Formats: sequence, structure tokens, C-alpha cells
Amino acid sequence: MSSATDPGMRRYSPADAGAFRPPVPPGLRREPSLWGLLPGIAAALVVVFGGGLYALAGLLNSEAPQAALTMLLSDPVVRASLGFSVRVAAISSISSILLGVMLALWLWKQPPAFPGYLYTLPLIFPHVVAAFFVIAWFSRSGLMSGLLYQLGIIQSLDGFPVLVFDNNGFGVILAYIYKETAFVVLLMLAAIRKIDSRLISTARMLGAGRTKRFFSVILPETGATLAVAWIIAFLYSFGAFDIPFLTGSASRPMASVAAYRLFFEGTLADRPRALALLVLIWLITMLFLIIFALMQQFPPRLLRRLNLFDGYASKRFASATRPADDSERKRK
Amino acid sequence: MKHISRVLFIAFFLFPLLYLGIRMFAGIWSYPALLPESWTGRALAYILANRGPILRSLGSSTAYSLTAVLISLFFSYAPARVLARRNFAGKSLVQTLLLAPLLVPAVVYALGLFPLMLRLGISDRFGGVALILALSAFPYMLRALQTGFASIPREYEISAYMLGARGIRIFSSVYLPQMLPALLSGATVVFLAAFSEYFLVFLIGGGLVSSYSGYLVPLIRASDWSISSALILIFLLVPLMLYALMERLLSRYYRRRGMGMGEQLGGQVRS
Repeated sequence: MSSATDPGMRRYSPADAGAFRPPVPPGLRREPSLWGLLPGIAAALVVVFGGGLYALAGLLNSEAPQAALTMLLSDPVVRASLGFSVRVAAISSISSILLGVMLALWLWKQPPAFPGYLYTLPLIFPHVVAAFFVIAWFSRSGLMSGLLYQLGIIQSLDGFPVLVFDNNGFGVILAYIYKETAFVVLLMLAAIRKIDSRLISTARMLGAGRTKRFFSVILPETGATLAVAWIIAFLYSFGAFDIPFLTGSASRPMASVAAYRLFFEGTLADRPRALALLVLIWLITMLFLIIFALMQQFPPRLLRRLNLFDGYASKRFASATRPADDSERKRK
Repeated sequence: MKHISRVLFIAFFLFPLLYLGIRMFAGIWSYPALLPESWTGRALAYILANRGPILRSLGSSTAYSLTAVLISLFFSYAPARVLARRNFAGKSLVQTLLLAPLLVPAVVYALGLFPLMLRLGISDRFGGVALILALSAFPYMLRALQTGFASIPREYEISAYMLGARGIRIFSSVYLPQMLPALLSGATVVFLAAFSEYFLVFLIGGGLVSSYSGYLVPLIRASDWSISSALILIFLLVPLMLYALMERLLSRYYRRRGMGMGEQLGGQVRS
């Protein structure tokens, strides 16, 4: 509700034709006070900055802050677990995006009677359940190994690669892909359904094939949503605990599990290392949050500069990533 | 493409349910066999024998998740109203900030603040667990409420005011009935997020607050897959039952107030 226009003088949409829109009476607040934002902002600040800053303060208050800070950049345990987490997060989030886009396109073409809503199942399952599936299906004596044996592809269970509790993080990646693909489908399907169907039929009439239609109509329209989905999926697999705790390797922990172990299972001398790891996880998270914020703030400029999406898509960016907004809708 | 998608759909979404159903009743299922060699009701017997602790952990999980929903309502009700009702400088930055808690790994803020929480006496407590869960999931509630507020014309409030309603009366007779569907859809997501969380409960609850996922994880780690499968299926039942209960309560509420669930309201409930 902008204060520039007098509420009593506003024009009506055809749906309200004939209705009288009363001015805000004296005594009733014209707009809710900005103080109302306080509880939400306070909670968000605690989550976003609380832990990271507190860990940083703990690091600086330790006996040798200088040594603690160099540890931030050079400790081999810290670096190894962090690098491993980034790799696992990158692989699982990119795979989820690819699979999710493919599945969303396929589900989109299914007839209405198709039980497409089943795709939400992995979203309802907790992460520990995704870990359970990975262990039960992909361990060496698991279902997948049995299937390959029956097909004659492997001769014994030793022929099946170590995929769970392994040092390459395959088990963790598989579990994340299971959870995140469903998440990508959720966002992507909503974005595809928002596309004006005339755009697609026009492209078809102009002779665009399936691939051409995808790259010149669907991708530009949904690219912004996908970028957001990727950031969320990446940060999730980068920092979450449950899945690497259950399916990860004991000798090569991911950053979240390593931080937990250093914190609770290590000696007091390990404490600065745990804090250093937390600070670094936090800093990487902040980096992605800043990218996320920039994309929300300046979508057209940023995306145009990156030359990823055309102008039409970036115009739609706001509506794809923000909830419906009363005031913005009314301004039109 | 098409075939891969079909296989993926089955592998991701149909097969898990089927597997859980079979695994739950499987007896001997030794290595290369693709189907169990014998069937047993052992998992069911276990659940019946341990119904006490299972129900207690389910009850505890449900209780702290519902509390987390209430706390997240406190964090998001007023902000959602402001965001839906007015424009101000830096609004989109505020919106991004209010969305950010969903993106920050639980390890960072929970483990980072853990020493502080110990000192403040927040940890090892039911309330502490609910608070931390609410902190990490309240943006879901906020978005749902913001959409809800945006769909209610300001004129309703003004009309109520002109008719003499004040303060709490405006809330209970204008906002509450209209906001209920949005509120419940936000509550469902927050509840699910809290209910399925393992790490935060186990960290903040310190083993003193029992949880269903905390009950399940040792069984998964011990590779007791029949019992795990049965427990996972029970886990799926809780949100389904709550959902059915909610739908029923909602429709009764609207009937009693003589309000049909309009197209728009019904649509929001279902989505």
C-alpha cells in the first residue's frame, strides 16, 4: 500500500466494479509498524550470524589467537575436510539439478491422472531415512550388488565397489541426490507451470525441436529458479550433518562431522581447530548467502552481465523467487 | 531421456515404499537373493513389545515439533504482516535475510552457539530443542503467512473497524478465519522439518529429550533393517494422520462459522 496514492481515490479492478473502497478511518493504523519485523529479524540474525561470530570470538579469545588464525588457513585436517565437503556438495547439487530438471520436464508432460505427487515422498522422508536407503541398497551386500550378481555382471560381492562408508563420499552423494532431486523437481515444476504455454507452442510452430525449445524457452524462463535451487542444494549438502554421520567414511569425515567430532570427542587442544572449522563453514555459507542476496536484489543487472538469461526471464525472476506480494500486485 | 526419467521416477519414488513394505516382513534375506527367502512378523512383534518407548519417543517428537510451530508463529506473524502490507526501503534485503536461516547449516549456528546455550541453560531441555528447531524453520511459516496476508484485502479489517470491532476482535473474526489455511500450510512444513530433524535434537536435547529419529538411528546403525523399515513406515503415518486431522478440524471450523471454504481457501489447504 503506497502512501503516495490516496486510498480513497484508487481505481478498481473489474472484479471489484461497483464496490466502494473505504479510506482508512482515523484511529486505525494506516500501515503496520516496522517494529513488527523485529522478532523475525532477531531470529534470523541469531541463526545467520550468531554461531559463526561466536565461534570466531572463541577463536580470537583462545590462548594464542595468532596461531589460531593461521590454523584457519593451514591446518591439514581442517583443509582436507572442508575441501572434501565442497567436492561432495558440488557433485551432489549439480547431479540433483540435472536429474531434477529431467524429471520435472517428464512429470510436466504426464496426464493429470498420473500420481505425480509421489515425487514429494523424499521430501517427507527425514535425512536419516535417505541414509538408510543408501546403506540398504548400495552397500556391498546390498540389493544393488545382489542384482548385479544375478545378472552375472559381478562374480561375488567383492566385485561390487565400496560405495557406502567409502573415502570418496559416494554414499553421502547418493543420499543427497535422493533428497535434493525431489527438491529441485518441486521448484522446477512450479517454475515450468508458470511459463506461458503460448511461448512454447509458438516456438513449436516456428519449428523449434525439443532441444531448441528447452534451451530457448524453458531454460531462460526457469534459469533463475534453478540458480536458487542450486544454491540451496549446495549449501545443504555442504553443511548438513545427518547423512555424512550415517553413511560417511570414519577416516575421512566431511566438515560438519569433523567439527562435531573435534568438539565433543577431541581433547581440549582440539577445540580451536573445531572453532576454526566452524568459522570456515560459516564463511563459505556467507559467501553463498551474499550471492543469493545479490541475485534477489539485482536480478536483471547481474544476470544480464553474466549473459546467462535473456531479459524476459530476468523480468520474471522476481515473481519466481518471491512470494506473491499484495502491494506489488496492486501497483500494476 | 524419457526412459531414464521413468526409471528415475520408479527408483526414487515408488520403489522405496515397496521396499519398506517387503523389508518389514522379510525374515532370512541372504546376499545375492533379490527377494526374501522367508517371511516373519518379527518387526511387528518388536514394535508391539516396545510400544512404550516407541510411543513415548513419537509423543516427544510430536510435542516439541508442535511447540516449534508455535514459536515459529511468534517469529513470523508480525513480520509477515509488515512484509505483506507495506513497502519500505531495503524490503527485499530484509526478505532475503528472513529467508536465510533455511540456508545456514545447523552445525554452524547450533554448534557455534552450543557453549553459550550450555551457559544459558537452554540445552538439554524440551524448550531449548523446540526453540532451536523453530529458529531454523520459521522462514517456511513466514512465507506461508505472507502469502496469506497478501490475499486478504485490507478493506475487511477496515469494515470490521467501522462496525465497531477493535484489536483482538478484528483478529479473531477477520484475520484468524481467513489466515487459517495459510497458517496451517506453514505449520505443516515447520512441523515436518522439526519432526524429521535428527542432529539438532540430539545435540541440544543431549539424550534427555527423546525423539523418534533418535530412536530410529541406532537401529539403522545396527543394520536392523526389518525393524527400521517398520519404524520408517510408522514415521510416514504421523504426518499423514495429522494432515487428515487438520483437514477435518478445518472444515468443521468453517462449517460452524457458516463459512464455506471458498475456492481460494480450499486451494490453499490442498497445496
